[in-house]
Amino acid sequence: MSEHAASHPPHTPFTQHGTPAHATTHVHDDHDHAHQFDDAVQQYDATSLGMWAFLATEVLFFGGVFTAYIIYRNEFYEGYNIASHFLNKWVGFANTGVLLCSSFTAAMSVRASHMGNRKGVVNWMFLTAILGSTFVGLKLSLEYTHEWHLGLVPLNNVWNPDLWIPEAQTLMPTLGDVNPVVQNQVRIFFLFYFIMTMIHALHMVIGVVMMLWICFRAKFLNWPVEKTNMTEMFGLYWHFVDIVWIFLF
Amino acid sequence: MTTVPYNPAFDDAKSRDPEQTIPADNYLSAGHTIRSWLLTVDHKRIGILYLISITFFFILGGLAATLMRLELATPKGDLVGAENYNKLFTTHGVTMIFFFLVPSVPAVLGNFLVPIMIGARDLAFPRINLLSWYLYVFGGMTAIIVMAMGGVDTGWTFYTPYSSTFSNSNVVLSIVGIFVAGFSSIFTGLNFIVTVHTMRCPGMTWFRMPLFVWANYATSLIMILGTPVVAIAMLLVLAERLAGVGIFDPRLGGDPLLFQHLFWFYSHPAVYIMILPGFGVISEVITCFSRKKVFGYSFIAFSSLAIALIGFLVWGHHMFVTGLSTYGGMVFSLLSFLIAVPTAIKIFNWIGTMYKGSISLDTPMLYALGFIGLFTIGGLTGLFLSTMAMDVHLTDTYFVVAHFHYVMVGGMVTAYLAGIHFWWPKMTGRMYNEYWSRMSALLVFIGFNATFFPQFIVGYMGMPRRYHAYPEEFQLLNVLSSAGASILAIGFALPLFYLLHSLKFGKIAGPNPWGAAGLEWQTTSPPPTFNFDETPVVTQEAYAYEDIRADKLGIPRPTTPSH
Amino acid sequence: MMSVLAQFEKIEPFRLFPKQASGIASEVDALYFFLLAVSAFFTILIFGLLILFVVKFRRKHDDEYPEAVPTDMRLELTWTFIPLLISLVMFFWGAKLYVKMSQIPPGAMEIAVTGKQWMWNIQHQSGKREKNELHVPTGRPVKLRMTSEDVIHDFSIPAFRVKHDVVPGRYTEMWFTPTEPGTYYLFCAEYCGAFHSGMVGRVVVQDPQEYAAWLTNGIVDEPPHLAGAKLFTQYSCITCHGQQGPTLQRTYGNIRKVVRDGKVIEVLADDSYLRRAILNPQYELVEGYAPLMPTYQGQLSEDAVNQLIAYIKSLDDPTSSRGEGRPVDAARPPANVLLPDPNVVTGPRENPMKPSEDGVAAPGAGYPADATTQPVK
Ligand code: HEA
Ligand code: HEA
Ligand code: HEC
Ligand code: CUA
Ligand SMILES: [Cu+2]
Repeated sequence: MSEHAASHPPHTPFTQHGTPAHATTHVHDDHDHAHQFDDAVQQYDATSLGMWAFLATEVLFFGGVFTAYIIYRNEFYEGYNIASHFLNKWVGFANTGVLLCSSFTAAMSVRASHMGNRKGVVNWMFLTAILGSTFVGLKLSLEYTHEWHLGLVPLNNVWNPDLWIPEAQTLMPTLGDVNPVVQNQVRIFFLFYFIMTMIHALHMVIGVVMMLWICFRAKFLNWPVEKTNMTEMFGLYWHFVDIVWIFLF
Repeated sequence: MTTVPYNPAFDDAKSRDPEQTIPADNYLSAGHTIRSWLLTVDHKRIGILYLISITFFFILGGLAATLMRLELATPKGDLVGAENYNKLFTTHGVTMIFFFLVPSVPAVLGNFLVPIMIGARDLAFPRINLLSWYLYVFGGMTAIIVMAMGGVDTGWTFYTPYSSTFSNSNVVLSIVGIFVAGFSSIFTGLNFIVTVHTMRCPGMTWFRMPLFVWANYATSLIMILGTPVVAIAMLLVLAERLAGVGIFDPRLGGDPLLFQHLFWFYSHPAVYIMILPGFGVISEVITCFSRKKVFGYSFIAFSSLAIALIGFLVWGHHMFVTGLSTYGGMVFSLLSFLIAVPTAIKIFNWIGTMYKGSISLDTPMLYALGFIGLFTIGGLTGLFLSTMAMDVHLTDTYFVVAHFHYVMVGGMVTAYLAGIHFWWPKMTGRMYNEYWSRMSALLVFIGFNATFFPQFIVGYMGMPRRYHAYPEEFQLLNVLSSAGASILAIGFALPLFYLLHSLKFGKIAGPNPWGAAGLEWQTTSPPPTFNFDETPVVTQEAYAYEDIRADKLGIPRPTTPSH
Repeated sequence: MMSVLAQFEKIEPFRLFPKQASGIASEVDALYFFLLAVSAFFTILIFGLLILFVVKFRRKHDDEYPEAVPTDMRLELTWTFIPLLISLVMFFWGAKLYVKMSQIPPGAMEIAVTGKQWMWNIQHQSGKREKNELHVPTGRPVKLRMTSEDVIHDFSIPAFRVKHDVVPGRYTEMWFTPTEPGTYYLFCAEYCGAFHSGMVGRVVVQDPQEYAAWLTNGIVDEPPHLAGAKLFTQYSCITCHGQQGPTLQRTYGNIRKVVRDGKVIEVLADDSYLRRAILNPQYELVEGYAPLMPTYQGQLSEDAVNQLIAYIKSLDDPTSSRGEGRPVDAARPPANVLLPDPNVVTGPRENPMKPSEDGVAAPGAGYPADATTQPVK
């Protein structure tokens, strides 16, 4: 990024895009950019850099939990091994599928915006929002409730082997008398699991709400969404959230 | 057409014109209602909002410090008692760090000046900027609610398992407050980075930017990369307290030291968040009051980046006595020394700037000189602490307390005051009382040394920190320290009076009262809402004091080396 | 004695430098003086230059416009490399001394320390216990093996220039050689809650004879290795060890091959190893054995763990009944243990490590009246 900006000749960081007059006046007649910017191109640069910087923050945010998680996984190998048997693989698979599709639809929406097709943007984005909601819905209705019943949600701190899914019981017949240390390792695993997946789900919800808002504005308020890089920024965000999920999974 | 960093039209002579008035069209006059302030997206107004709110928190943290010093005046510990004392130093540390010092220079001066200094109309994301302030206020309110509910007693470091399992004070709410305030600084950092990258005015190349902008840029990098990690650490403590699964509780198999790693991974870089912007201020002030171009521009600029980056790799120097592996410790120690080198470079370059200058001791310069002296002492004592064998004896004693007050109060707070005094005329259009402001600089310097120098000695004697009572033979040094603190308090209180007074009665400053070269002096004081009437075009390097000299002496300007 | 001290305090109410009372203290102080000298040099240099320039280049009249001075590369390099070199010296010196401080000399006498909000419980190898007080003899290295029952504490003895965190759930170690008889402060240096500042005590350094007498004086508990032997039966360790479990002789101080995360690795069986083996046996398994051993986490007090470990260590002792007379080995304990004849000592055995009701020190009340950084002559 820095090379990009620094490589401009000293006098004209952006005069290629704007008229020279632009540089000496702040009277804005064109309304395709916010007041603090000189022109739409500058705004475009700023928003993409902003999104990238934001994603850098996010990487460290998730990176922090991941590191903690990995440290513990090395230390509590056994408990984590047991714990992973309780995760419902099928819901996980299904959700991964859903997310991959939504990445695709998000990409289509970005493509539509490059072609200046507002309808395309809105439709694809709406589809992405629906897929996103499906993901969150599945997560809440199937996975979390399931784990709640198993007594694995950290707040609901019970350890009830009777409730364990048969699969786990056949895998580990002696689980019932797992010693308390390991039981607790399992709990810690689930704490991490919930923190990470919940933060992730929160990101999804925020994403869905934003997409619906964009669609709404574009469709009913006649907002020229295809002229901005909103969709593209949004696509970046969405892909990032998807990638995080792949890691989590 | 071109406007240059030094423009005779904004000559300091004009600033001394007794007839001049405050320009009618400025950012302050743009609206007088509360609403116009609370919904503003003007970076300058947001800077002022920050100024008011962090001053509030500074007084709050200062009151806690006052009570602490009163308690420590006698060895018995009979004034507030152990538990209240613990809450006091926690409140003091948390408010001073998270709600005062971290936002001080970046959010007040940086907000106000970064866009102007690079010739932009505003930050890239004005609304996010306002959101930052609201997040800050929300976090701050939470901290105040915590105090009202009885406080929190974990120390600002929130070490587990005490904070996660044993403390029965309001840890959860405090964490929420810090967490939210953290997002405020992430957004500020984000805004600065994007602004500096994309919104420089024509001709403002990277190496023509004032060092203040460089410093804020480096700070912003730390903010966006470090803060999320502390957010996570805090989140884990929160989860642990709510769910009690034992991530940090060894009885349940957790690791109590993991928190320290996560915490210092942020909090060490955070100490550079708390000093780099101060370095930036000093570079501006020293040049202006020496009337000289800064010595070693690129060395100072790159040393900021070096500090920001190496700063992420030294966190273990806070953990030499926890049982860190010896080799790990050595790496941390070595890197801590390496980070001292770019700092040394800065100090010597500032002194080099003064060499053969024309030095005038106006208030900002007095503060800046105080900064160099006090920060040097603070930084050098940091070297004691990063020397492994020495730290074993010194860690968790008053030596550490003295070290960080020297760098944070003697360093950053002094730099902040230097900056406030330097740009006050720009922000308000008026000058403050010269006599009292110099007095304040003097009192701060004297009071500060009287307060914190004795703490080095008592620390080497072995007095542990966070003790509300102590053996009798430490009393004399502690009394000295408490006495010094009262001088310091007066030094800090004075600006409150004369600065407020100046708002109404101060002499009108004019656009460039100090005869300074920066772009911010090329617009009216206070600046108009969009900062410049015309977008400036820069053809000079920063600190073009040579041009001023040429114009004054009526000789041709030196040709600037081409890029 | 107390009155003498009190008077002394009046004569010289405060010192500017702490007493040196351990072997390492003078070395730490030497490093300190070096750092101080470097700092003094730079502080004087910088203050000096500031004052000099302010005086010399003071603006004489308002129309003074100095000429620019170009950046000088040689100067920049000078003030980059000189600090770099000096700081490397600091680093090596500090690191070398640190290594010395962390390598426990063979044959160090071992004392067990348990921190707990807000007191220090200490047990000597002879079985003698004390609280908030540590008696040590001059002239021989002493190793403290420390752990905490609740939060992190820190065992700090300024006159010895040593301190180390005391972390729950693990052992940490530190050592020193007391040199000057006297009474010194003992502080808890890591913030640990409400009465952190009351978690203080004193360290009493005695001549070896005096110390030996003190050890057998008054109530002395059963030595930990003997208590451990009983626990070993009581917790039925004995039923497995020797059969399905490994014999525990030749364990302590040796390299063990263990399976961790499915990989065979070699670890040194030190105190921490034994502790893990008892409290978290699944974490690493001795190669060739099944994961049969139950965990004792939550069932054994820190005290009991300490006793079991003492017992396991004593198995190697050639003088002990079960020992096999193996060659002397650097880390093995017999030489470290000042064992008074166990038959001489008997006393009522209550468990002082049990959370004591009287334990909470009143704020500020924890300071021994006659503790001072002065040695008591
Ligand atoms: C503004 C904040 C700030 C700054 C800038 C610094 C700067 C430095 N700090 Fe400090 N530090 C803190 C704030 C800060 N610190 C805080 C808040 C704590 C305590 C936290 C807590 O526990 O509550 C702390 C604690 C702390 C510790 C842990 C102590 C302990 O708890 O045991 C250490 C250890 O290495 C350390 C080292 C350093 C070093 C090497 C520098 C260096 O960057 C300093 C570099 C500067 C110079 C060296 C001076 C200028 C150079 C010269 C004049 C040339 C001569 C130089 C040489 C010969 C090399 N600091
Ligand atoms: C920005 C950071 C900052 C600042 C500015 C200060 C400022 C001061 N600090 Fe401290 N301090 C910390 C950060 C800071 N501190 C931190 C992080 C800790 C560690 C906490 C922990 O252990 O968890 C600490 C701990 C700490 C201790 C150690 C407590 C202990 O370990 O037991 C002490 C003791 O003397 C102290 C004193 C002071 C004093 C006297 C000031 C003075 O400079 C304050 C002077 C300011 C005022 C008094 C307010 C302004 C005055 C007015 C507006 C006038 C009105 C008021 C009066 C007339 C009284 N601070
Ligand atoms: C049910 C059988 C059983 C009981 C009871 C038992 N252990 Fe063990 N122990 C084992 C086995 C099997 C191993 C080897 C595998 C391993 O490392 O866990 C072992 C290993 C050890 C080791 C590591 C030895 C080495 O060679 O490195 C120590 C130390 C130990 N046990 C101590 C104890 C103590 C102390 C107790 C009682 C408080 C105890 N054990 C009770 C079966 C048992
Ligand atoms: Cu124990 Cu502080
Ligand atoms: Cu640090």
